[in-house]
Amino acid sequence: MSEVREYKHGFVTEIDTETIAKGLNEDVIRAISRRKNEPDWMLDYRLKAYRHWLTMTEPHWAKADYEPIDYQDIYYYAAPKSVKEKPKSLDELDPELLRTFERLGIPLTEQKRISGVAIDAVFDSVSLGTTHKEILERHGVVFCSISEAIQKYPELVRKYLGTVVPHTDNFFAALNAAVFSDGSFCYIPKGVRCPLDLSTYFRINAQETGQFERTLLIADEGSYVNYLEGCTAPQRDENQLHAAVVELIALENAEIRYSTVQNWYTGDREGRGGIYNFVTKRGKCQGRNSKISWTQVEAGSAITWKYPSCILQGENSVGAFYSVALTHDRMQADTGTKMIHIGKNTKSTIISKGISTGHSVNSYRGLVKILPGAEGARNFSQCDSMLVGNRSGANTFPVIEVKNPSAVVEHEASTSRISEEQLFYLQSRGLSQEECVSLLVNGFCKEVFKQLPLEFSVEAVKLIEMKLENSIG
Amino acid sequence: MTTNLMKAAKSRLDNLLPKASLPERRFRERAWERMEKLGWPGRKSETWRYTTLAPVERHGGDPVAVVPELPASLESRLTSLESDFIVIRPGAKLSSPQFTVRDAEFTSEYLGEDAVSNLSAAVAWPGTEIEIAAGAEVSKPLLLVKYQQAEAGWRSAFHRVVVNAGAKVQVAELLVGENVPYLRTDLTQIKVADKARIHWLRIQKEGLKAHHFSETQIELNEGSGFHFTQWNEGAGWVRSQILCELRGRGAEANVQGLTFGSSEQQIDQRVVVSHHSGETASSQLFKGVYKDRSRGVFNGKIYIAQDAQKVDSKQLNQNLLLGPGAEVNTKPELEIYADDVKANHGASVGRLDEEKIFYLRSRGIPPEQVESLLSQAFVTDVIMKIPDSGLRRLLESVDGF
Amino acid sequence: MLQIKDLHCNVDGKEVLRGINLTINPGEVHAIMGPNGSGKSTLSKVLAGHPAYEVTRGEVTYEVNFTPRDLLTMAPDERAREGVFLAFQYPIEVPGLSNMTFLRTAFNSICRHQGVQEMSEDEFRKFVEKKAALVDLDPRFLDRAVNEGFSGGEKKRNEILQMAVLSPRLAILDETDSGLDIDSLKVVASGVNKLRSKDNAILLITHYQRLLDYIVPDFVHVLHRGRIVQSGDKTLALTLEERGYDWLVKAEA
Repeated sequence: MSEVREYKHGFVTEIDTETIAKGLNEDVIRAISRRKNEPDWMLDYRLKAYRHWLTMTEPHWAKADYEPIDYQDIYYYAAPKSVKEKPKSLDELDPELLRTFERLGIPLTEQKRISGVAIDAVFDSVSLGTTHKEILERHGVVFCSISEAIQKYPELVRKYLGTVVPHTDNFFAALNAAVFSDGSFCYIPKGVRCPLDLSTYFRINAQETGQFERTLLIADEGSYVNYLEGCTAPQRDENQLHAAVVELIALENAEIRYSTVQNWYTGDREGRGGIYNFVTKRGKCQGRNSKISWTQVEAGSAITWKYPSCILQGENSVGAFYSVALTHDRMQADTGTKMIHIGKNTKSTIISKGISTGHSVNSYRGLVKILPGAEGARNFSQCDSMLVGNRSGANTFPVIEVKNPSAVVEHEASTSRISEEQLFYLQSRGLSQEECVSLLVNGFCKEVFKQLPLEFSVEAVKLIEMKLENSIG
Repeated sequence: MTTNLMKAAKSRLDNLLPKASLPERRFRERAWERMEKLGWPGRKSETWRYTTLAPVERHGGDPVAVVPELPASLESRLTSLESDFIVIRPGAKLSSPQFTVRDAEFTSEYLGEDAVSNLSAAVAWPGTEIEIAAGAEVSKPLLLVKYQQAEAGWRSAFHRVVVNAGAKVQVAELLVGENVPYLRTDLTQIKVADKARIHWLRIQKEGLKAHHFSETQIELNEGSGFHFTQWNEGAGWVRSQILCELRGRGAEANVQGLTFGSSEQQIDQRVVVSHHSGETASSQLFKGVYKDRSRGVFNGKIYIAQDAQKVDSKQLNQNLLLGPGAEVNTKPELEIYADDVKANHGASVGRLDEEKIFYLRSRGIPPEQVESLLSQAFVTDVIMKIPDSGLRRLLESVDGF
Repeated sequence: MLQIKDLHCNVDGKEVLRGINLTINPGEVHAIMGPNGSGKSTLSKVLAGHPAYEVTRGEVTYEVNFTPRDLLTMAPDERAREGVFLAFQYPIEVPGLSNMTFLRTAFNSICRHQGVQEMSEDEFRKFVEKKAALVDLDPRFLDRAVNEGFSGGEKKRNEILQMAVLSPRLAILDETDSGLDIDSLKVVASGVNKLRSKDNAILLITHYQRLLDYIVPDFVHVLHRGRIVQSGDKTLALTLEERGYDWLVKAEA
C-alpha cells in the first residue's frame, strides 16, 4: 500500500460486530426498529418513508459520476456486540472502542475527556454514549443519542422530527428516514446559553455498511448552542454510503452555530474506495430574530453532495453558510447551500471557498430564493475557486430567484490559481513551495476558518495543510 | 408529445422533404433527429427551469411562404436611414465586391442547442445569408430588417453570416412585427474567420403580443473579434439563446444585452461562452430593468475547456426590479477545467438606491422622472460599450420602431 | 420665510432632534454650529424631506407666495421646486447619468412649475457653462456622470453649481466647508455670497468658524443634543472658536 497517501484515520477496529442481514425491505426496517425497542409511531414513520422511497428514483443531476449503488448489497445496521446492552458510563465501554476513539483524538473516559466540549460518540449504527452529561443536565440541556431521545423525550422528537427535512424531501432523505440507526438529539431550553460546545463524532468501521445517522437539534426561545461534528472512516477498497439527515430548529431569538470538519475516507489515488457522502442538512429559523450558521470544512469522501440550507421564516432571521471544500485525486465535491427567504427583513450570507487539485472536480451549487413576502430581504454571496494543477475542474452554479422587488441580492465569484508573483515572493523569503502553497491557501480560506471554534479551526488548518502536501508534493 | 406546434412541424417537414435537395434534406432530417433525441424540454430541464414553453406549443397552422410587405411607417423610417446604413429588407439580394446578400442555403449543418432550436431548424425557411469577402471592410453598417406579419402565424427562419479572413463589418438587426400573437423562431449561424471582426447590434422590438425564440451561434477563429449587443424590448414571451465558441487563439468576444420588461412580459436570456482555445478573452455584461409584473431570466455560462490556458473571462448580470410584481431569476455559471485562467462573475438583483432617489428629488425632479433617469443611468454603460457610433445612434431613436 | 417650532425627529428609533425652534426671514443668513452628533445634519435632511427621518412632534412652515405652507407634508421634489435647496455634506454619485442631463431635467422641472419659459439645449449649456466658471469647475465636468470620480472639493463645487443654476430661495448648506482647501473654500463662499439677496435666505451648517470669515452670518446658533442652546450674532462664532463648546454644554447641564 505504498501508493496510498497518509490517511491517519484509516485504521480498522477489530471487534465483533452484530449486523442485520444485508439488503433492504420492510422486514429489515422492522428489525432495526425492534432492535431499538421503538414505539409504534416511529416504526410507522420509517415504513411510510420506505414506501415513499420505493417510488423515487436516484438523482443524477449533480456533476458527479460513479458506479450505481446496489441498495440490496449494503448492511443497514451494524453495532459492536459489546454495546448491545448500553453501558451506564463511558468508562465501562469495551476497551477496544475506547482505544479507537483515543487514536482519533477523542478520549471518552472520565479523567481524559476534553473539557469544554460534550461529545456524543457514534460508532457505525449506534451511539456509544455522551460525555459531560451532568453539567448539561444541570442547565436542562438534553444531549443524547436520538435512539435514547425517542425513548425518553418522545413528544419532542414527534413534534419536530421530519419538520425541516420531510421524508419526501429527496431520495437519500427518504432512505435515511426509513433506516436511520442513530445520531444525536439536542434540546436547549428557553433562555439557556449552552454551557459547553456540543459535539458528535461519527466513525464508520464495519465493512459494506451504510451509515444513516439522524441529528435533530432544537434551540428554544432565546437559547444559544455551538455544535461541532467530526467524521472519519477506515481505508477500504469498496465504496461506502453515508446518507445523513440533520435538522435544526431555531425558535424566537435563538442561535445555532453548526460546524463540521468532514474527513471521511476519500478513496485512493485512482479513485478506488471511499465514502459517498450524500447528506441533507437543513435548518429552520422559525422564530423572529433567530440565527443559524453552518460552517463546514469538507476535505474527505470520494463524492460529496451536501447543501446545508436555511429556511428563513421568522422576521429578521439570519442565515449564514461558510464553506471550505478541498478536493484531490479523483474526488468529486458538489456542495453549497440554499437560503430560502420567507420572512420580512431576513438576511443571509454565503462564503464559499473551493480548492481543486489533481483530477478532482469541485462544484459550488447554491440557491438564494426570495419569496414574495420577504420584504426587505438581503443576501450577499461570495464564491471563490482555486485550481491547483491543470487536470482539475472548478464549477460555480449559483441560482438567484427574486420575487420581491424590495430585496437586495448580490453574488460574486472568481476562479483563479495561486498567483505566481505571490508564490515567488514567499519563496524568495526562504519558504519551500509546499509551505508557500499551504500559507496562500490558508489565506484564501481565512474568512471561513475564523468562523470555527478555536480548536476546530486549528484542526481544520492542519487537515488542509496535510492534504495539500500529499496532493501537490 | 402532440402539441399543435409539433403537429404543425411534422406536417411542414413532410411537405418540405420531397421538394428538398439532398443537402437540404440532410439538414432537415438531422435537425429533426436531434430534436427527438434531445427530447422536448419541460420544467425539469435545467436550461428551461424558469420559462414555460406552453405559449409556443399552442402555435400551429401552415406558414405563408411569402416575403412580408413592410408597413409604410417602417418603410419611411428605413428610407431615412439609408444614408447611414445599407438596408437589407426581407428577401433582398445584393452583391458588391465587399459583400453579398442572398437567400440562405442549407449546405452547412446546424447543431441546435436544444430540441426547440432543432425543431425550428428542421422546418426553417431560408433566411438571409450575408458573406463578407476576405479582407473587405464594409464602410457602412448593414441594417438587416426582419418583419413578421399576422398571417405568418409561426415562422421559422435560418440565417447565415460568414465573415471571411481579415474582413470587418458592422451589422444592425431589427426584429419587428405586427402586434398580434405570432411566433418567430429565428436561427442565426455566424462564422468569423481568422483576424476578422464583426460588431452586431440586435434590436428585438417585436409586437408585445408576439412570441420570440432565437438562437444565435457564433464561431470565432484565430485573432477574430466579436461584439454583440442584444436589446430586448418587444414580445410578450422571449427566449434568446446566444452560444459563442472561441476556437482560435487571440479570439475575443464581448457579448452584452439589455432587457426592458414591462406589463406581463416574460424575457429569458441565455448565454454560453465557451473557450475551447487558450489565450482567448470574453466578457458578458447583461442588465435588466423590470417594471409592472414582468419576469426576467438570465442564464449565463462561462466554460473553459481543459488546456485552454491564459483565458481571461468575465460575466456580470445586474437587475433592477421596479414593478411591485416584477420577478427575476438569474443563474450565472462558471465551468472551468484549466488552471491558468481568470474567470469572474457577479450577479445582483435590487431596486433603485434610496439615496440616489432622494438626491435627484431634492433637486426638484418628480418621482416618475427620477425613476426613468436612474433606470437610464443604470443601462448607460452597456450602450457606451457598443464600439460603433453608427450603431449607438440607432439606439437613440429606438422608440421610433 | 421659514418657521420651525418644537421640532422633534427620530432616526432609527432614536430621538435626534428634541425641540428645535428657529425663524428665518428673507435676506438673512443663519449659521448653525455644534459638536459632532448634535443633530446638525439631521436638521438639514428633515428640511429637505429625507424619507428616513421621522418627525415625531412640532411643525415647520415655509412661505410660498406669501402664504405659509406646511413644509413637512411636501414631497422632497416639491420642496425643491418651491425653492428649498440642500447642498449635501456627502454628494451622491450617480454613474451613467450625465451632470448636464441631471441639471437640465431639474432646471426644467422647476421652470415648468414656476411657469417660466424653458431654455433650449444650447441656451442652457451656455447658461450652465457661465455658472460653472463662477465656481471654477471645468466645463468638461458637465458631461461626466454626476459626482462619479469627483474629488471631495469637486463634489462640493458641483453642489454650489447646482445651487447657482437652480437659484433657490432657501439654501441649506450642510458642512459644505468640510474637507475643502482654502482656495476651494473661497470659491464656494463666493458662490454662496452671490446668492445673497433681500429675498433669499441661507442656512449654513458648519463645524468650524472658518467658513464664517467668508460668509458672514447675521445669526449664529449652537446646537447641542438636538436643541438650540445658545443664539447670538457673528461674535458668538468667534467665542466658540476661542472657548470651544464645553462652556455652553456645562452651562446647559
